[in-house]
Amino acid sequence: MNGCRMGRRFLMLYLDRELEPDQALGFETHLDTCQECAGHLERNRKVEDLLENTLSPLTSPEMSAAFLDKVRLRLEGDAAAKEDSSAGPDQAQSRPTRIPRRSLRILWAAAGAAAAAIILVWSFHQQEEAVPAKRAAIADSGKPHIVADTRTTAEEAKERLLARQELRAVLEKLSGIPDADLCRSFEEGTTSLKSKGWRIDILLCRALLHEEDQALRSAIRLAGRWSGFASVPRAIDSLERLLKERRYPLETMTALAALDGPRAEAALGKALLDQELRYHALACLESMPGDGPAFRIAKALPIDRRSSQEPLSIFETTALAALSRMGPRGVKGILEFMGRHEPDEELVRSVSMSGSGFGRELAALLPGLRGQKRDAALRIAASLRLEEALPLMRRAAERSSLEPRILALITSTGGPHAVKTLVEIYQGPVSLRERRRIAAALVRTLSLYPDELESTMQRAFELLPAEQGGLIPELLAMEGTGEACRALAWIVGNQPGISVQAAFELARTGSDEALPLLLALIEGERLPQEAQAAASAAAILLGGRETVESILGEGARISGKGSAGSGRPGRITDSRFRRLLEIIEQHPSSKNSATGG
Amino acid sequence: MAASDISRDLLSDTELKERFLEGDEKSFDAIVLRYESLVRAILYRLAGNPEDAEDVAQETFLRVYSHLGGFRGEASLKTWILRIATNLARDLQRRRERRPPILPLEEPALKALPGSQGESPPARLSLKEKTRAVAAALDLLPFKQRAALTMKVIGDMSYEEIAAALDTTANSVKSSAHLARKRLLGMLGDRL
Repeated sequence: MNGCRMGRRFLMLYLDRELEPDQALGFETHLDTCQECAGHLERNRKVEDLLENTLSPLTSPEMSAAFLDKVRLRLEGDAAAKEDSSAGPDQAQSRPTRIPRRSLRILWAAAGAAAAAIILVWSFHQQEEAVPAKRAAIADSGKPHIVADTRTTAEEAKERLLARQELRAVLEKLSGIPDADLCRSFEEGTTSLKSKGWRIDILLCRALLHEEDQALRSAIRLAGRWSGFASVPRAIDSLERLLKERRYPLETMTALAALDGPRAEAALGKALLDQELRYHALACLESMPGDGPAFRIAKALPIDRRSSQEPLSIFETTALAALSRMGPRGVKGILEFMGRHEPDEELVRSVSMSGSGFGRELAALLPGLRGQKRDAALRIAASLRLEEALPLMRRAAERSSLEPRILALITSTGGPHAVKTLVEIYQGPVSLRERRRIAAALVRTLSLYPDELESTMQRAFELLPAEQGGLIPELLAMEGTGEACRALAWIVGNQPGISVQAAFELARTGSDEALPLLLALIEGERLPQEAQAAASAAAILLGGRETVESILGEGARISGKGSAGSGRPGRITDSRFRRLLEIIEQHPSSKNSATGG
Repeated sequence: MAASDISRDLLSDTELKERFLEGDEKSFDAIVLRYESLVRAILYRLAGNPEDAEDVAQETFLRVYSHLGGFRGEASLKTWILRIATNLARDLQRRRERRPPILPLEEPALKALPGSQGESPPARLSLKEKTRAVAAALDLLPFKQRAALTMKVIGDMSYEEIAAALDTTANSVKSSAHLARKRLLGMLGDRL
């Protein structure tokens, strides 16, 4: 018993191919994660395969011809028997004479029906030109009746054999002809067959089933180029069988791609899993129209990669590139794949590198997407910095009460439009906590757009003024990232009320960027005195007196300026140093840091 | 061979029927060649043995020959032919059931397989053994379930088409096919 609710509802319908394409695809996605359903499906598929095995010996053109012969023989036999019985003495006398009352009623009814039939037949015979004699005979007897034909089935079989031999000879001659000329040469070579009324595509299909070597190879090549071939019911059967047997697999896959259709897609989808065939199968699927091929490719991914820690294989990268070249259907395929697998950096990089058109296609599809596909699409859009996705992200953020995950998407998108979007969100009724999130998200956009520091920080402080804590807790939560350090340095220089705290927090981050940022602040001419002192103290706290003096002295020599109140460039006087130490001692943030002075 | 003989492959079922009724015998041959493999494949599993399946298949087409004039085209020709075939196969089964039961309780093919006599099944049966096991298990299913599953798997027919062929509803076919799969898996157990 399948314990999975999805399995109970969809598995059998999926096996029976009775699900709508969307449902089938959804269930296939479920199969990737539900081992129970996958196990049930596999066992059922095994049974189906075995069931088909039991019947495969029953189908071949020879058996069909033999069966037809038998049916014809029986029809002729029945007709002869009817003639004998109508000519011979009645056998009714040998039957029992006692007839039950109920049977008598049936007999009367039968007699009436027979009389009606005789009248009907008689009326048919009055219109002989309208109804051929043999049809009348069938109506008369209720049994088949054969009128002799001019040619026997054996003669036909012989003709078929000769036609096949002729076709084989043509195919063998075509073995060395390039594809471009193949059809024309084939047309010429089969002129005599066509003049006899043979339908070439059917002969070709039979050749695929039975011919060998060069003849077969030419037949496969032709199958993909011969327009009438797709209408032959067994064409795909033949090619599927050949692919399964790996007979000229490349030519067979090309022919399948040309014939198109779900079964061809499925066969090529299977070939994607074959190490030797997969590149050609991928190329074939890419060349086919419709959404199906893209979904087959997406469904097969990832093929080689076992975890997000591993790099994508060359084939997987190629497959993603193929999808991104396939327009909207390829984008749908990628979304289907990424709906199942978190799009890590490697995947997104592969997709974004694969073509500039991908972003456009994704933006066009975005408004129509729902559920997991939309989530995946927004994640990719953020990674691609697709500004067209920002309105959707904004709506998603507002609906989710500014869920950090969604804000992170806006942040990742970055740029002035992302900042604007975050500010617009703030225009709505948001709590202090939500404002903090938005402000932090604004700062994160600096990782992509560092040049927007001034405007972004101003926006952030509009959201979260200094008197309300001014963003410092959010910046500390960002654990010393480059954008957090730059934001703290900006606060030191621009927010006097919290500049000292910002300077020491910057020092506490321990980031490699912290000391250069502090020194740049010290060297700046317009820094308020309190901020200057805070930056100096934080720099000493972080790097030590000698380091700070050395770096400041080097900077002064380069710029040709002297440090204020010192005999040599960059030197910090003892009195100033003591004052700075006092600042350090007084500030609570300095307690956890080791002084280098 | 005349050109018209080959062009029959291109004709629709309705056109073939019309030409046959106009006296073109070869159109009947085209109908036979179009559907015989499907009919024989399905009957192979419904009739129980290849000989009976062959006989019933021939009988099916004899009836098609006799009654094609009465076929009004309400269903497709394919489902109409399959309906004749399944009715004949069902009749055959009923005739068999009236005879004294001589068959063992369990199909010999299924019983003879490794793992059927209480011993633990081998890690892997050969393909031939598995195929035999599936065929034997299928033969143990009720007629309707067997017919529904066979038409689904072999004929690749929709529930509606099968319903038309079995003279029942699509829902009934759906449940029959599902039950058949479930029972098959139950009977085959670890043998797969």
